[in-house]
Amino acid sequence: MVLLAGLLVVGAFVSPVFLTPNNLLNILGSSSVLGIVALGQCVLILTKKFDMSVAFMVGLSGIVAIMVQNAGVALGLSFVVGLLAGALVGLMNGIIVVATKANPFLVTLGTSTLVYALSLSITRSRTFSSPYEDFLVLGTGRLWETIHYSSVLFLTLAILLELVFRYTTIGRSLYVIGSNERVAHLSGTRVTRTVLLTFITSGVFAATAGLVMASRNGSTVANSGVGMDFDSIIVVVLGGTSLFGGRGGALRTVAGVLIFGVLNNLMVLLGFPAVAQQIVKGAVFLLVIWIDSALREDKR
Amino acid sequence: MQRQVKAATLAALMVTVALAGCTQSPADDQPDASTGSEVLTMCVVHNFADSVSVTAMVKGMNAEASHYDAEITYFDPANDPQKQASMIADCASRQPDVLVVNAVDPEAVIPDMKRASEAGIKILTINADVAEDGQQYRMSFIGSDSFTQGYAVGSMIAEGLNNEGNLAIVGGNPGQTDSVNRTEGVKAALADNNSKIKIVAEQSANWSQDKALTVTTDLLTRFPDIDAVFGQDDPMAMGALLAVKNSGKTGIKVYGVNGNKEACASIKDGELAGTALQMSELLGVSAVRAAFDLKVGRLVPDKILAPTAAVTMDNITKWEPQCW
Amino acid sequence: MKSILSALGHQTALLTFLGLFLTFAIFLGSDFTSLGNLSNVTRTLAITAPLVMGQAIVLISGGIDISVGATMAMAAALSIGLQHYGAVVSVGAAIAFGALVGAANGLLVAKAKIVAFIATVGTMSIVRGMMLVYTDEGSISNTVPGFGFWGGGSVGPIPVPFILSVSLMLVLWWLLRYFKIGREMYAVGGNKETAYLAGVAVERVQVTAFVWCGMLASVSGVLLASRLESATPQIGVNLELFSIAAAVIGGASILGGRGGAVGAFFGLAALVILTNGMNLLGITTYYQLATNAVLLIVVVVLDALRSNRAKRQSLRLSPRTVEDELTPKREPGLGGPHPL
Repeated sequence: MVLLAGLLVVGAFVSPVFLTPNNLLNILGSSSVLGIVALGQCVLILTKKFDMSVAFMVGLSGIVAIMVQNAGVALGLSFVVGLLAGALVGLMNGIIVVATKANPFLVTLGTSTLVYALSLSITRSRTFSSPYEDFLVLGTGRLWETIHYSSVLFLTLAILLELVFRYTTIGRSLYVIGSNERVAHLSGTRVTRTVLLTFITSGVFAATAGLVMASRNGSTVANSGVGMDFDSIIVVVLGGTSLFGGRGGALRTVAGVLIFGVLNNLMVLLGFPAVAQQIVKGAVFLLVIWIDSALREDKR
Repeated sequence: MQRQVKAATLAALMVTVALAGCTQSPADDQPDASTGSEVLTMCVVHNFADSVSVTAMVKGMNAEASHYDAEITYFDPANDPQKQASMIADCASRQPDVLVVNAVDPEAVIPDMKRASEAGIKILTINADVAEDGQQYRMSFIGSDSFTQGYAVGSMIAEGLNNEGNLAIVGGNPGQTDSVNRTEGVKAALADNNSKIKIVAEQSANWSQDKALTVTTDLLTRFPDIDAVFGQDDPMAMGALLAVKNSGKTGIKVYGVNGNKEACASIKDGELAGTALQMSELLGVSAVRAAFDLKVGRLVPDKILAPTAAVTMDNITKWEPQCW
Repeated sequence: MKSILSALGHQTALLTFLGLFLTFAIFLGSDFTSLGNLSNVTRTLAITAPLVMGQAIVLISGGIDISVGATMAMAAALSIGLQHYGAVVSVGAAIAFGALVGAANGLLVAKAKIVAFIATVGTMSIVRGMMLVYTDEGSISNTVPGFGFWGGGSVGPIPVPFILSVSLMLVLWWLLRYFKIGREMYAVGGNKETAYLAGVAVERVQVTAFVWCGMLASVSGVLLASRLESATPQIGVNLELFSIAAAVIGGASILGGRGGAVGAFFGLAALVILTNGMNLLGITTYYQLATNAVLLIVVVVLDALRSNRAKRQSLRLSPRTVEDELTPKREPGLGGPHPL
């Protein structure tokens, strides 16, 4: 939080455009998609696992939704289908990881390519557009003419998730699983079922983000989520959730998302070329991970 | 471990023997191109089969192939320069009449093109040409006159902005022939019109619609006074258009190149300001014709350039049937 | 089932390679076995082999390196970009750069105790960004005549890089088997605590493994740059997963402690032939992507299953209670969890 305030102050000095409500709302708006993905990722990271397939999941859900729309399915139902796609991929990820105890990072990297291949083969690389005008509302509309619907969605989901983390048994069990999986298992938590659910959740969240993304565009783009796998991890850790599991939360992730958004915005305003931005992101990532690791040392 | 090494050495020997022993076999099964068999054999190496332009090119090639009794084999390296280099080598070893390359990277293809050309294979480049050093190895380049496309867009911009204002260019791949030429074309058109239009930003979005969206959003944040955006192809232009719409700013004109169906529809609706036609299907057709000419020993021009046309709301009805 | 699992390694890679070779030879005939095609395939194999063997080395020592593709790209760029100082300087710089990246990775993992795949993902991003900045996002080419010989030339029907890579493979095999550092790597990968207690300088070994890997990735980069006589930003993209799959087919394990250079070489050979076969069969990009992905998943899963079996067997020897789990293990100064 302190970091966020600090960045805001720096930002104000850097550019006159920065503190304008329009700019700030834009930051929130454009970060919302990543934010939703990050919330899903956060659920997994709490249990010390990762989902690297989110990047292409974002593309797939949008594609699935638009393709079924073009096949005559109603708008609302198409959303459900898109989310279902996310849930299925999440389920697949979860089953593989739980059944074989294989490294989730690598497994989901594999499924991520599968999802990409699937997206490409569904569209045969042509771009398809949604036949419904209203489809664009979710992505581009604003509540009360100011806040993007996507931001509203993001914040609502964050609050809901935080409530789940704090006040439900399954939510709290995530922290236990993250700290020490064997103990959680021995103390009766249904680890397998919970882990499966976390993967499904991540898939669904990524799908939601994908639907928002698609509704901004109105058309199918297979790689619209490129980079979000990496970015979502950065953002979650930036917000204070530990990669070693057992610590963190949804609201912290929101803070992380905002910090990231502000950072990006500042780099754009300062005129950093896109490649330099990538270097900065990598450096920030390592710095944050390092701090996370160092902090963990102390606690032990 | 010992056993493994022995096995490994054995396998390595096997491969070497296979290589050495195979000196005889290669093209015995295939009709020798130079003895003048009826069929025109072409080996085509795409840059990325997954793109709208390449799909159109393939359509053109296949359509024309039926007129010339041509057999075309396609390879797709999915934008990987190493893969493309090895596919070129592969194609060369099959000794087709003509080898067609759509370069992923203008430099990376040169060594293998050189080897193929020295082996006597006639090479054509399509859509994306090889770099200058490599042009001696190819017989002809079939592509769009991207400079003229840029010029057409530049003229549209000059007229659309009444010769003054700020322009942002969202480019393809830095250094790629099309990107460079289209920008040059725009600048030339602006100069010829004595225009006071300033190019405030040029940033690349790698021909990606999504990247163009982000890039344009950023540009609009940094330069609030942009009056027009030129996206070097229609997908990018559509991305830029979306960014403009999202920003809530009115009056910014967006231009593209290609003449894709979505773009044409957008022009008709009054959203996209204009585009310059790219005749990708025609490129495919021309490539097969040139290949045939090469096979029967005719000379072909160094460059075969497809024409373009500036499409705006005023003439959209005329050009719409050509949109793809 | 158990025998299948334990078979993954040593001979598997060789058998897989031979099996695929024969299958394609039969089904594709001269398309596949023609001199041109085989020479081509061998060349691609040879260029990528150093990188894969580097990955195998890191895996053996218990780590993993996701930055190999990026390092390869930057090395390629350096070897071309610095050519006006002479090819020797540019190649030397490229390899030095690889060592540097390796050192950075090694330190992050060994000293800062950052999980290997996370650390190397970070360095990958930075190095890739560096490469894009260095080449201005475009491709660069500026070669001294003769530079192209190493990657692109042939001695008779045999591509030059093949000779280089096979020699490299033999050297690495020898190092891993007969030199102390090699055995130390296996020890560290197998069980860090035990290795430490046995007197091995664990951290130094880990760093060394990463440095070797970085250098080997650079060698691949230089060879590729030599073949293409240029360096482009698309180099090495997606190669990371490919190299892991190849190394694991060749016997390496993601949990460390096993594998070898020779196995990795043949694992790669199998994969390269598979790709070549798919290309010749005209299988579209989507299916190739999907196949590669499934292959990676299968390989990772099999590896995990095999490791689990081993772990479960060792656990059964000493029944543990909840209290055992909760008291922190006494770790003499190592701190941090096992790399993965």
